[in-house]
Amino acid sequence: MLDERQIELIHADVDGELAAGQRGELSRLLLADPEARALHDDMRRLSGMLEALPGFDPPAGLENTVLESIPWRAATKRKTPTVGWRHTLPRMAAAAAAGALLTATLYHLGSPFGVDVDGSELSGTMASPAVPAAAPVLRLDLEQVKGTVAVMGSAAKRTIEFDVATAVPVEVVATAGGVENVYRLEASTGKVRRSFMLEGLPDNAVDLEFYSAGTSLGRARVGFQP
Amino acid sequence: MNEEADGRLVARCCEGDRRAFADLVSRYQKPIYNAAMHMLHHTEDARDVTQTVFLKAYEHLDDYDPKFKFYSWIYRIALNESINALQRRHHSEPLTEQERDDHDGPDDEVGSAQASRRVQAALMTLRSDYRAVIVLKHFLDSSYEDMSEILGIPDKTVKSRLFTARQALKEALNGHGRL
Repeated sequence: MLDERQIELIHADVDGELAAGQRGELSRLLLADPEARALHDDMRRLSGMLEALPGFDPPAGLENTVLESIPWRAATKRKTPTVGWRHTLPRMAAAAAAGALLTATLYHLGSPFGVDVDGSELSGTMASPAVPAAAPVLRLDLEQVKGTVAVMGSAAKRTIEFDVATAVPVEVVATAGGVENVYRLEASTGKVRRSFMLEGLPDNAVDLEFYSAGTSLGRARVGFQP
Repeated sequence: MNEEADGRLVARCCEGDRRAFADLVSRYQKPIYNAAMHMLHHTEDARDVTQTVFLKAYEHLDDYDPKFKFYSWIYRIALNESINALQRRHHSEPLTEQERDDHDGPDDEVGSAQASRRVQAALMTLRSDYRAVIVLKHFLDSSYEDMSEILGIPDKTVKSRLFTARQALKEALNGHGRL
């Protein structure tokens, strides 16, 4: 009958958690005790069977679904410090460099919207390390759609963020690098912030077309520095 | 997982950086979905659990204590949510036809696919706390120390629970005989 320590040794070996000094002890046990050998063989075999199980790929679109469900909020105060100065300084430098590179490029394509740049939001994002990578902000001012649109993130992965109130359900087709992304914005009385993954590798602008019940409401373009 | 990178991303999330949270989702969606699938064996439930895990993580990010590893914290949420889902549904369903199709490949792969189904089915017969330690050890590659932190139990209890879980799994696979 194996005792608790012997069983622990066997499982620790299977789990790769055997301490350096325990290797010899386990070897002697396995040589001397057939019950220990049988348990060791069984546990190794079982471990092999478990690790041979195929992994499961998350369903397509799960990441988008997750991000769309997040009730985004502004910065919050932590109860405890999060990172030391050695992490913060490079981040500040990177934010300042990113801010210096950013250029607000915004185009108005004659849409029925009043479209312009919100200068206050732009200037507020250029230098502060406490604010995420800045994006030009496109302001929409239509009878049925009011709010802002911004492109966020890096070239590797971009998101597009709508902070709008829509009197009717609106479909937005965002064309980035030749790839069409279609988003649906439900009607809302107040502004609702919604973020979507932006597929495609846009050069420096994303073309937006807004639809309601299949009818185009107009086009706009939001730009950013790649 | 890269703890230092996780810490930086969490800090940026708390500063209002949505991109940082998207990076955390991108980094952890696969292990969390896999853990939920092995706990629940149900694609829709695993999807719902994964979504809930990230939602709760975001909502409670201010409460996250950086002295613990981020992955320990989020895996703990994932296991708790999976166990909650099990308790709510009180079911463990067999593989769907779609999943069978996914796993049954050419003839020479059928044997291994059947073996996989047998192991997964045996796993589903275990108590949820036993299944959780198997999932942590074998599918999330957690150390005893990590498991202790995730489950909030002493190291010694982790080991004894894992040994008992394996014995139960072995018996579910082959009765009381050898594997």
